[in-house]
Formats: sequence, C-alpha cells, structure tokens
Amino acid sequence: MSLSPYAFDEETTIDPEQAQRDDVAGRTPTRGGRVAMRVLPPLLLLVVAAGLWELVSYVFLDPSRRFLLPPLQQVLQQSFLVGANLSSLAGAFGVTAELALVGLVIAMALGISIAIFMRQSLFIERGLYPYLVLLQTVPILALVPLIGFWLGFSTTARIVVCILIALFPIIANTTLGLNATTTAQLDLFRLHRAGRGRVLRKLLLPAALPAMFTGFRISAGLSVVGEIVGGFFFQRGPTDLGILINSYVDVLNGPLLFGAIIFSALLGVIVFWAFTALAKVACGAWKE
Amino acid sequence: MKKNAKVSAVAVLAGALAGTGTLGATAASASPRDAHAARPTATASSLAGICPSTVKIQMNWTPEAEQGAYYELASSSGTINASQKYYTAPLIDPATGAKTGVKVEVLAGGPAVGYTSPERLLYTDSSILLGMDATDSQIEAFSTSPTVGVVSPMYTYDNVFFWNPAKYHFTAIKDFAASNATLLSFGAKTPLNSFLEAKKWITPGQVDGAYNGTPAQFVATGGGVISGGYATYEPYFYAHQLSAWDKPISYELIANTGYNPYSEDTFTTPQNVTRYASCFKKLVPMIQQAQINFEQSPNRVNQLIVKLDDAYKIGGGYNMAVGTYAAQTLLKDRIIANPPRGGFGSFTMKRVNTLIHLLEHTHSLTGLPANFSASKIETNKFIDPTLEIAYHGPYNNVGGVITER
Repeated sequence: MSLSPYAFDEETTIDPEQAQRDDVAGRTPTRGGRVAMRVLPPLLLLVVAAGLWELVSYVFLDPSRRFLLPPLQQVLQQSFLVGANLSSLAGAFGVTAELALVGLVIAMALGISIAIFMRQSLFIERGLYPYLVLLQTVPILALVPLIGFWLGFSTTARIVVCILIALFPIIANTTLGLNATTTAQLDLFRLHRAGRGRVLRKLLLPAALPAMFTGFRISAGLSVVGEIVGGFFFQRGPTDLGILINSYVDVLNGPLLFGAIIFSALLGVIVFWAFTALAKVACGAWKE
Repeated sequence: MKKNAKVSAVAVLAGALAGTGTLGATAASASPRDAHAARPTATASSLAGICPSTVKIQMNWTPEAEQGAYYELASSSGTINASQKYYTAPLIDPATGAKTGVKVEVLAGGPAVGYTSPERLLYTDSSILLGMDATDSQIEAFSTSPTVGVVSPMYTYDNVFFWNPAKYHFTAIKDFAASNATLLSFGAKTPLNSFLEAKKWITPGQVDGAYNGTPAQFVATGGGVISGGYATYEPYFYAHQLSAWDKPISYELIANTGYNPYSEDTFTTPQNVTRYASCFKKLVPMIQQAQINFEQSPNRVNQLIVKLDDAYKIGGGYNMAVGTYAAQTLLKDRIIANPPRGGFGSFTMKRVNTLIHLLEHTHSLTGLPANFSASKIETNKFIDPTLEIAYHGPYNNVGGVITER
C-alpha cells in the first residue's frame, strides 16, 4: 500500500479510534454496521429532539402561546405539504442559495488573491493584516445603512454583505496554508531555480489547499448567514429566506417561520457537505 | 415590523358616497368646496414642463391605506416594479380625471429601503421630488437632511398606545406610569418617550426600546405589556386577524397627550421649493384632492395597494379588510380632518412650533439653526385653501380610550 496521504479514498479510510474500539470488542464490523453506526446516533437524537419538541408544544405551551414553538407536525405539514407555502419557501431557498454562492465565489477570489499578495512580502502582510482584522471586527449591522446608501437596497447590497462576512476566514486560512511549507521544501525549489510563479503553483498553493478548504467551508456557512441577514435589510430584488422570515414574524406565522428556519439550516448543511466533498476531491481523504 | 399585514370588506365608505353608508359621509356634491368640486380646467391639469416627467414620491413604509392620496394620483394602468418596489403610472388630476402629461412613481419605504428615512433618501437620490414622514422625524433629520413640508394629507398623529383591556383599565396614557407595565417602543430614547417621561406619564424603567413592531411579545406575555402601534392597523389586526390573540384591544391616540406631529408630512428639499414652485402650485392641490377622493371611495386604491403588497412580498401582506378598516378609522378617529383654518392638508404653524419647542426642551435636539421655527420646515404657499373634506361622523371616542372589538 502506498504511504502517500493522497492514496486513500473514502472506501479505504480507517477511523483509528473506531478500529481500536472494534479491536477491544473483538469484532470486525461489516460495512452495513459501519453505516448504521454513522446514521443511527444522529437519527436517534433527532427522534428524541422531535419528541421533546412535541412535548413542549402540546403540554407546556398554552394554545395562545403555541406560536413560540408550533407543533413539529404542523411545521412540516404547513411548510412541505401546502403547495403555495412550499413554492414560496423553495423559491426563497433558491434565491438565497444563488446570492450566497455568488458572494462566496467573489469572497474566495478576493480572499485567495489578498492572501497570495500578502505572502509576497512581510511588509505587505504587516500593512494589510490589521485592516483585515478591523474588517472582521466591525459589526456588519453597523455597515448596513452605508451599504444601502452606496449600493442601493437590492441584491448587490445583499451580495456585498455575504462577501464582507465570508472574506476573513478565507484570507486567514489561505495565509495559514501558504505559510505551512517548510524551509527545506522551499530550498528544494530554489535549488531548481524555480521562479515565484512556479513556487506558488507547484508548492505553496497545493500545500495550502487543505487549509484553504477549511476556510471555504467556514465561509460557505457564513455566506448563507450573510445573505439571510442582508435580506432583513435589503428587501428590493427577489424574495429570499431573510425577507420571508421577516414577513412571517410580522404576522406571527410560527409554522412557516420554523419552516423558513429549517430551509435556512438545510442550505447551511448542504454547503457544508458540498465543501467537505470538494475538499476530499481536491486534497484527498487524508485531511478529513 | 412597524406596520404590516392588512385586509378586505367592501365599502362602507363607498356606500357613504351614495349617502347610505354607516359613516354618514355626504355625497360628493354635498359641498361646493369638497371632493369632486369642479375646480380646474383640463388645461389647468397639465404638469408637463413644470414638473419632472416622472414625479417620484418616497413613502415611509410599504403600501397601505394611509398612503391613499399618493396612489389616488396614479391611474390603475401603471406598471409594478416588484423587484425594486415601486409603482409607476400616468399622474391623473383627481379633480378632473384628466391626464397631467407626467407620470407618478410611488416608491415603497421602510423594509424596501433598508429602513432609511425618506428625508435621507431625498438627498441620496435627487430624482425623488417628494418624501413623506412624520414631522418629529423631519425635525430630527433637519440638521443633516433639511426638508420643507408642502402638504399634510393627515391632520392628527395616527400613532397610538394599545393594551389588553382585560388586564389594564387605563383611562388615559397618563395612567401608564402607575401601572409600571413594560412599554414596547421603537427605540428607548425617542422624542415621544422623552416627552412622556418629562410629563411623568411613563418612567424610563418601563420602556423596552427593542420593539420591532411584531406582535410576539404582546401575545407571549398574554397582553402583559403596553405597545406602540397605529390606529389604522393594530386594533383591527389584533382583534380580527391575529389568531394567536383574537381578542379586543384598547388604544388611545398619542395626539391626546399633546404630542401631535403630522404623520404624513409631505416634503421636498429647500432647493426644490424654489426650483419646482410652479409644479407644486398645481401638484399640491392635486394631493389635497386625492386624499379627499380616496376617503370618499377607497376601494380602487385599496385594491391597488393590496395588489402592490402581493407583488412586493415584503411585510406580512395587506388585504382589503384592513385597508377598508384603515380608511374608515382615518375619518372616525379624526386623523383625516379639516384644520381649523387654512384648507385641507395645510399646516398649523403654531402646532409645529409647539412640537419644536417640546422637542428642544425634552429631547435635547442638537444641530438645529438658531431661531429654528415652523416656517423653516413647513409652507402653506402651495395649498389650495378652498379644499375641504366632508364627513359628518360617526366618530370614535377620539379624546379618550377606544376599544376595538
């Protein structure tokens, strides 16, 4: 078997902790058993959470206050089985996904470029970094009125919120990754008279990929959050999940409010999975 | 949100136009000075060449019956920009029904513009000719975004405080302090709160400034809080459309306390007052007339408003029942009424000066010019003083507590 970390794929991945537990138990789990061990714990937790949800909703909440936590079956029925509601939620889900993705792609391009730029000299890195930290620490809500004045109250403003909120983790992780190469590796490239471009392409960027994908995964979730927050304030343009959540709150429509929250969470999970999968394709399973 | 969902029912006011309505409004011909009085000629209707080719008017909230005058100016054959949340249509002279040769564009505010004030928007988009907001907001914004009011389609401030009558038996807003009940307010240090605290009718400890206009806290506490709202919306919405409450609420107009800004002070920039003087001389009487027409027959415009809210998809949705209730309440609570003098839609300078004085002394306003007074922010020079609205009741108990059942 190759010792290269890139040689493993998901089928041959061995969880050392699980293997140790199996050894202790004196058994070799089947593939079905391994899948069950992965799926069952979250499934059981889901059943317990759903039970608690129904208990609180039906037993502890007075009917007049049930909008605070509407029964789960009512949430699912209203959100997924009523055509008009599902259509609204699915449409808003699509808009949020599209704008968050546009924001994320721009943040990725900007973030990687800035990190590479900073890698070129310590002077540039020291010059830029404090302002990037400042950008990260300014509450995004404080910038909202300004973004509206400058860019209007439509989709451009929402995308800018996504970029601002998603940018820093990409820069920080890419910088971390670019600085992860050892002196020996760099010396080897210098020995072969590799130029800056080649060092970047052949050494720095491949070595930085795992860290970069960690940044993308964090930022993907943040971009979804940014789009929904943007929708609270910039309500021109197509209806997204933020706008829908606002309108459901206005009339205390608890079931659909929770439905919109479920759709929002679903989108977050999808982007998390997508970037986990992409990371595996790009870096190999060893990192995961 | 501050204001939102709304609804349908036909026509008490439409009936009133025929003299049979429950409100008892007189027919259009009842007074030579009201509604459809044959004022201008077809030529007088033309705004082409003196007004911008598209008269843009910025609202302070999403479409609702309180904005009836502005939508009354627009023909029903306009186009809806659902994405950017505005409605563009030929501007019709409400006195004659004739086209004026220009278009009107009514821009939704509030959530449609990131809650940016119309005063500010007049300065960020110079193509907007008129904005609409309450006079206290206009005064507060004056140091950075000065504006001059040219007409006020509403006479009395339409904001209210409302409460659960089963829990609190207030006889007036001045009873609030003694109850120590939490008061939900849009911001803690508002001019209104400063005024009421100075009067000792509320205490600073009572105020929860985090209110965002949703019914959640009121309902979740079983009506254990006092809430800010609008006479035209919350009383009906809570009593008839909010399934989680569905009980009567009581309210009192804040105007009764002496805090009485114009709710829909319609203004432009000081530069525009001169630049578009010829335009305003014709346009302002049209706005006056449009409000009168809307109150006499609100259905067409309410239907348009419902259609716009459906298209814009922001806020909780609006429906004809709320729109009809709002149009009636505006008259029954004397929110739309004739001033003592000066003509429908005119400003009473003494009232504005009282408000300025009150804000200066209770709210520590800063940045206002020396000798700041009503004449700096309001003008009646474009008002047609002959226009009046005809309405002969019935009225609600507008001097005290009103309960919507």
